[in-house]
Amino acid sequence: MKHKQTWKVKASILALLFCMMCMLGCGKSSTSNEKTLRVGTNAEFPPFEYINNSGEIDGFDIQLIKAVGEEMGYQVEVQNMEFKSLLGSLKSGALDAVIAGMTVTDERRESVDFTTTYYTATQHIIVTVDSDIISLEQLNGKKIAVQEGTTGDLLVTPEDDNEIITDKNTEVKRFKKGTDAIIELKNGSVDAVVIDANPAKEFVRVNEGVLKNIEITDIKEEYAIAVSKGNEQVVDDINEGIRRIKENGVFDELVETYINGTEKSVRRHSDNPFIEFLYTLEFVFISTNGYKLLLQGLVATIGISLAAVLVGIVLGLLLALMKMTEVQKGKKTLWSRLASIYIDIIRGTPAIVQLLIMYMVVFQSKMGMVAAILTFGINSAAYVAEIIRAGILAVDKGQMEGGRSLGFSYAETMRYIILPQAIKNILPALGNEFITLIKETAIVGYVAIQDLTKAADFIISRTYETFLPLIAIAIIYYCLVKLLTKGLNVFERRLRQSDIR
Amino acid sequence: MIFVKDLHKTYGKLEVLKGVNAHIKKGECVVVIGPSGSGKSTFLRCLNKLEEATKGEIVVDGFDIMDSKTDINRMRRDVGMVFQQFNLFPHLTILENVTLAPIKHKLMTKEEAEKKAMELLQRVGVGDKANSYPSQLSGGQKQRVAIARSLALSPNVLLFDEPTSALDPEMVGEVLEVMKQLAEEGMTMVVVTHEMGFAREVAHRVLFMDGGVVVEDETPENIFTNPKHERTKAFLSKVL
Repeated sequence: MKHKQTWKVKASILALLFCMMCMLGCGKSSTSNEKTLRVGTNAEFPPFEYINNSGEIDGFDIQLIKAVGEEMGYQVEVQNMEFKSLLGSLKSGALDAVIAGMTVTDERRESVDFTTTYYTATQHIIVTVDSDIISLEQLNGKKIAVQEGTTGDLLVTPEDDNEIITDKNTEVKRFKKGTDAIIELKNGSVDAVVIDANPAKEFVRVNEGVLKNIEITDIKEEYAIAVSKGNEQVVDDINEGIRRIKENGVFDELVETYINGTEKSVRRHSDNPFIEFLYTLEFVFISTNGYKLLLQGLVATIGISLAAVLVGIVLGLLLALMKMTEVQKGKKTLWSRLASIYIDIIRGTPAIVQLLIMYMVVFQSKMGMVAAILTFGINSAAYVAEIIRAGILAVDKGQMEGGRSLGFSYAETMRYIILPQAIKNILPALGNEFITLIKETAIVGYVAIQDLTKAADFIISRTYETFLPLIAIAIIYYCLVKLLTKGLNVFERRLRQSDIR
Repeated sequence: MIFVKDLHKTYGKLEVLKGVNAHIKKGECVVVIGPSGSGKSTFLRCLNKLEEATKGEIVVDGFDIMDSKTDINRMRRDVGMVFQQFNLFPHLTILENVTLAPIKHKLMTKEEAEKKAMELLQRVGVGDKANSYPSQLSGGQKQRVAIARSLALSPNVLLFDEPTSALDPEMVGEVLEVMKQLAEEGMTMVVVTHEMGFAREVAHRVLFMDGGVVVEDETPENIFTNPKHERTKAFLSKVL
């Protein structure tokens, strides 16, 4: 009789969890507010969109849509995501509009509607100052870096556009971010980068003396805001907003500030290599607020790991108990089978895939933090379950008989006698799981969470310095892990001392 | 008090018990002897369902063990068990080991349970160890604590599964002394043991088991001085 009850409890906890996941996943329809305009962008495209020195999404496009929103009475919420997933999120209803320096093309028109164009851009070729490339034709047979899914990509990729002269001898490297393409060029791995005019000018400005840009005059592009197909209300409102801010001068102000702006670089230079190094440090970590990004990232990394490990412990204990029914009954049970399947699937698929499924499918590209914590919690649970199970099985079999012979049920014996002893076996291994998790969370940048790794990413995209930010996060991760390992060792020694008492 | 009829137990193809019959009255101390593998421990463990019998009738202290509707956990409160390996709970103090069951079963308040536990621990001679942990005790002390732990639930029957087999020889006496006292106080006891001295001196009856059956069921005098069966004779000639 007692066993049945514990089964019921387990079953209801599981059911509750599933319900919670479903509710979180299905909540999207109820959260849409008619006064809110959810705008997606990819803040890797200066000066149209980028992360500014305070770590906020900024740029011409961002200020434009905010001004339009203010004009038309919308609360504008800007979300930063991969350029490639912008249109998908628009279609799935997670976004109302996309403003990302997006060129109007017939191909895109098939899946989304566009507002009136607000900017005309040309494509530029960026090369190193010593390069002899001066025209698009010369790019044939060369190595070219582009930002994935942008006009530059369409332009130089052989199969995608027959107007253009590149053939199969041309190697095109596609990057998620324009800055990554530029870094590739600076490292000498590609011959040229093809990208929109304004980011091109910005890139060349901050890399003065290293890079130069060549305008491709015969190709012009129109930027517009994308809206999901048939959403005329939003298209009309945005068009009206653009008309109004062009009229009242706000638009011209933005062009002046962001596009024609002559913002001076904050970087100082020196001929002394040591002082130059100090200046670089100052530039990367202090004058561009890199340290703040790293601190915020550190907090996010620790927070996600800690929350995930807690979810993992609760879920893992549940799974371990489900698996333990096998030991109790002496044969496989429904519960132990379910737990085995869960563990099998989680262990058999990459965490990044689980994360993307959770974020894009279950959460519809919302609540990235919750999605990440749940993903890593669910992922970790599979490993925690095995840790707990091993810890329980390591307790002498006589303890169960001792407990049962005193009239305790299986569950009571577990609770009063087995688990308190198993914890000593389990805790050190759980600590290791936490350490592993800290390193594994480095992929949450994929779902737009600014963790430690993503912070380094931002610093690179703003300073074009790769070495320092990457070494910095490597050191931070290392220290974090080292510190935890030391703490864990002390803790483990204490536990063992209590055994001797 | 204990009634066993035609008890069978098989593990897969191996038949360990092949029809055991036994009848133990209230206040009786019965010692079960026999060679290794004769099934005496299995028989004992079937009495409180630590092993599930395959076939037969078992009634212990009014509980029908073979009936799936019987509340086995309730039954076990009245039928205590002492193990060869003591099975004390290493994470609890001696006092906590003894008070855990009465408190969690809500039979007593913490104060009552501790008062009774101290009495029991003093009775078995380990009162001064109440706040120690099991790992600090000798084997003999551990086993005496285990007996006190069983007694804390005021059982009607106590089952002993080779209680002295894991002990150093010099500690056997102190444990047997406690068991002897219990028997003299009228506790119903079933003891599986190799201690022939204890069987001869304390037991009211001795069951000799071999090959999964009770071969001989006699008073100690009769079985030790005048065994009827050849197998009993052969066994006793080896151990005495």
